[in-house]
Parts: sequence; structure tokens; C-alpha cells
Amino acid sequence: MNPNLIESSEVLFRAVQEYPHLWKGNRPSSLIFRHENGVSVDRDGDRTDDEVCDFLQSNLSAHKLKAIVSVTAEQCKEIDVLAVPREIESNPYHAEIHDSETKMLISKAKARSLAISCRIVKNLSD
Amino acid sequence: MTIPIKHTWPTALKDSRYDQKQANAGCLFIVHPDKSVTFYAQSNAYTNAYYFVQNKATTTPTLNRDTWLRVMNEKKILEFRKLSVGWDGYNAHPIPLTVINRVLSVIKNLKEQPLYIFPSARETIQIEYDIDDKSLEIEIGSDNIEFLSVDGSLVKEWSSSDIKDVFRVINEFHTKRLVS
Repeated sequence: MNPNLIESSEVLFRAVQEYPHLWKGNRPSSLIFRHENGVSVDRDGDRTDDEVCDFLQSNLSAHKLKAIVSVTAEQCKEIDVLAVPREIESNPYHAEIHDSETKMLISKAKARSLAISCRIVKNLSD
Repeated sequence: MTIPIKHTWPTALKDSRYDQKQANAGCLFIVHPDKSVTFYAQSNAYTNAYYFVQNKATTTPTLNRDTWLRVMNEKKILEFRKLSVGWDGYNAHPIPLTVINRVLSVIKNLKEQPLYIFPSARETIQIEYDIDDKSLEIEIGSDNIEFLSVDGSLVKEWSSSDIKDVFRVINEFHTKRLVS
């Protein structure tokens, strides 16, 4: 895993909490990709889906999760958003998705595209 | 005609998962700041009888579909008051009371109630409509409103500060549906 660059082949994971409900039918609301300072995600870092999910669930153990979803770096490119590595002390896999090089908040249209194209890696509903 | 009934209610019923179950069952409890509870029931809901027998109530208030949706939406929005910093597991902000009140005033005056209302991590509340291949997202903040409309391959995104635009856009969205 290159700490300075996210390769097209990488997968980015995001946990979605159960409450409040941010889910529409079989996909999350676009709002899960709308954060003022970019959306926090976890890079796969050559881990399996199960390993990433276990790590996320452990990191977010204080929150009841509804699901873990993912988008590929390739999809980010197609939607024209920017995946940026942002390693932090507690999480070497941490990254962010920004709208562009100059804007961190993802536009509504791009956020919707991400919500529609994301894959549900693990459904944690009861 | 709606006849709200107020009485005290066990704390356990305030659990959000229970709220979802009772909503699915056609019943709704709104817990007021004074701890009293207003009970609503959808017309002809089988569960009305169960809840009312349990609570020795004698009158069943019923709501038509639109009013029912509005009451459910109001309740959902009021629940957003409970969200604290990091409610999404990341760095979400709480929803300011000004935004909650602003969206409540919209919902109270909307003829076409949205089926989706979500809080955002950025101190806004979003209402969404989906009809066939058309979608409308309206994200309401304390002084800004952002719109996204999707009609097939036509995508339009814009913002406004005038709350009247919310009513106008929703009305246009549903009017176009009726005439198309």
C-alpha cells in the first residue's frame, strides 16, 4: 500500500450506522458521502473484505452498524471524485474522498452517483 | 378526525428500534418534553386495538395517509435532536435546533410528504422524493438550501436561501409527474 497514492485497483470502505437510518431501499442515501471535509474511508490495504469489516467494526464498536459499503478507486475516477490517502495514527488505512483537488465537499450529484454505485460488502442488520 | 390522547408511557418505548416497529405496525407515539405521549394510529390498523387495550384507552384516533405520513415525518425530525457529535461513527455534527424547526415548518405545510428524511453529517436535513426515474433531493441547512433533481439522464444541482423555493420545487416535481 503506497502511503502517498491510491491505486486504481484499490477498494475503499465506509461503515454506515444503523441509527439514524440513512438507507433507501437497497442502497444508502447519498448523504453518507457528504461531509464538509471529505468522506473518511478505509483503504483495503491488501486485506480481505472480512478483515476490513472486522477492523471497521472494531474501530466503531461504540456504534451499531447497518452495513459496510465500498467503492473502488476506479469508480471514484469515473465519477470524478478524488481519493486521497490520509493515514492517521490510529488507522494506517484511513483515506478521504474529496470532490476535487480544490474542494473537499462532494457535490450532490457525485454523492448520489457514489451511493448508487457502491457495493454492499456486509449487511449487519438484525 | 384525529383525536390525540396523552398519557404517560414506559421509558422502554422510547427506544428507536421500537419506534420503527410501531411505525411499521401502523402506530406512532410522540414523546413530548413533559414526558407525556401522544398516540396516533393509522386508519384500520389491526394493532390499534392491541395498544389501546393495553393502555385502557377507549377512543381510537385515526389518520388518513397524508396526515399519517406528516405525523411520522414530524416525529422522525424531532428524533434528530438526540444526535450528538460523531453520531455517524465518524465526525458528524449534531443537527442545530434552527434547522430542525425550519424543516418541521416545511413538513407541516407540505401537501406531498416525502418518504425519506435523513439527517446529514453537516448540520442539515435532507428530504428526498423518488418517482420512477425521477429523483429530488433537498438538503436544508440553517440558511442555505441545496437541490438536486434527476430526470433520466438530466441532472441539475443548485442552491437557494429562500425557503419558498422548497415548496415551489416540490410542487413542480409532482406536477410534472401528473402531466407526463
